[in-house]
Amino acid sequence: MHPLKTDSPLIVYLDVKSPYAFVSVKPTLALERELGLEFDWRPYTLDIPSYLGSARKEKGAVVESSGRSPKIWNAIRYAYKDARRYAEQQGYILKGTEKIWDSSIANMGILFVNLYFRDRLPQYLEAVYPPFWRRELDIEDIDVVKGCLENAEVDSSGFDDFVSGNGKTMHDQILTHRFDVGMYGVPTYVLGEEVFFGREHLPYIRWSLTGKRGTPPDVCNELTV
Amino acid sequence: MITAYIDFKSLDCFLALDPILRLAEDCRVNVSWQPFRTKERALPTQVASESVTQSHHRVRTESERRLQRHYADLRGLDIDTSRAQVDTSAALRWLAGLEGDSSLFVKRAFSAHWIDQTDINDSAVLQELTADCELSIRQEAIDLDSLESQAVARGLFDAPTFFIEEHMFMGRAHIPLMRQLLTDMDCH
Repeated sequence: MHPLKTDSPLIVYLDVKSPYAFVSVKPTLALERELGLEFDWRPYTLDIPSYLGSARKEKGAVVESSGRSPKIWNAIRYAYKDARRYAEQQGYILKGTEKIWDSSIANMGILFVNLYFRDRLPQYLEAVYPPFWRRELDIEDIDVVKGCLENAEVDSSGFDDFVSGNGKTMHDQILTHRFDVGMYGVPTYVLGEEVFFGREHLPYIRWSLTGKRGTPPDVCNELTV
Repeated sequence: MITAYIDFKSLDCFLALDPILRLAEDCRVNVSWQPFRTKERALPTQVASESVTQSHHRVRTESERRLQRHYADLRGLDIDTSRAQVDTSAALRWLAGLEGDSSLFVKRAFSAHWIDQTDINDSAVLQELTADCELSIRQEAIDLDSLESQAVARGLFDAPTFFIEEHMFMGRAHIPLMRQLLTDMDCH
């Protein structure tokens, strides 16, 4: 799977453990509906410790931390606070995480649904994202992820084989080539040859997908109810 | 009131200027401009034995530059991105000493740095800008490090960053939410 190649007008890369990806889901789905298009939704599992250091919390307090300066801590605190206010605007709850999760199985769920049950994709995203961010899901447990698939009315019987076979191969190919194609975070949008990091580019993407008429829009986090 | 932390050498700050001034005008609030030096790194060169961390930072920096350029081009701005490497600390120190509404000064200083490619650290340039904007400057020494430490204690990590009361917004993409907040405040 080439990270930039698709038959769809737009590729959307997400990671379930990213708060910014969480708050991008609703506006991206809204854009897809508004334009009557089918986007190509894919996983990109972030390797957070490689660029933000690592930390572990217990009962809300940091008990372990490495490689994080005061500015990095400010950036991380702000990221959660910022994502939380937009999540609340969208009617969701977003709680800070206690650890850096391995979200690869839940992310392979995105790929599984996108490939074989495309019409259930909004339901799967709704089944996995909001409960995870309410701290109600152990997304490292494949049975929990299969439960999310079932909640989205997706037949999960082939998911075990997918996670140990094709799904893992495709998931890992994206990770292997992410830097070569200019990707480093989520949400990432691929529009033709252009790669955009962040949902603030959705106005430009809309403008571009609708014929580039009128004044080009600036970056903007649109408020989505 | 919007408090805006900026650095003249930051293209993101320059691109945020007009949208923030428009927001302030629409909502009939003032902007208090404060200095915050950003780290504008040169584009890292890819090396053979690059670690994941190095790759991440290189690709991120390349992407940020490309997208800054993209939006500058959309506005028809002819930008020399190497201006981000020109230190503007003296101009920021000067800004911190200005008395009165410094929005016009900020607008002209950004334009001088990015469009006219003028040395805005030059005290003659700063004095002329100040006089043109009918502002005065306090004589006491300004300690940028100390101002920035206070800003970091407030939660800052980069610029442009905006505050409306205790609400912090990093980047111009938050203008709709800032507008909503200012509108709600006005209504109450």
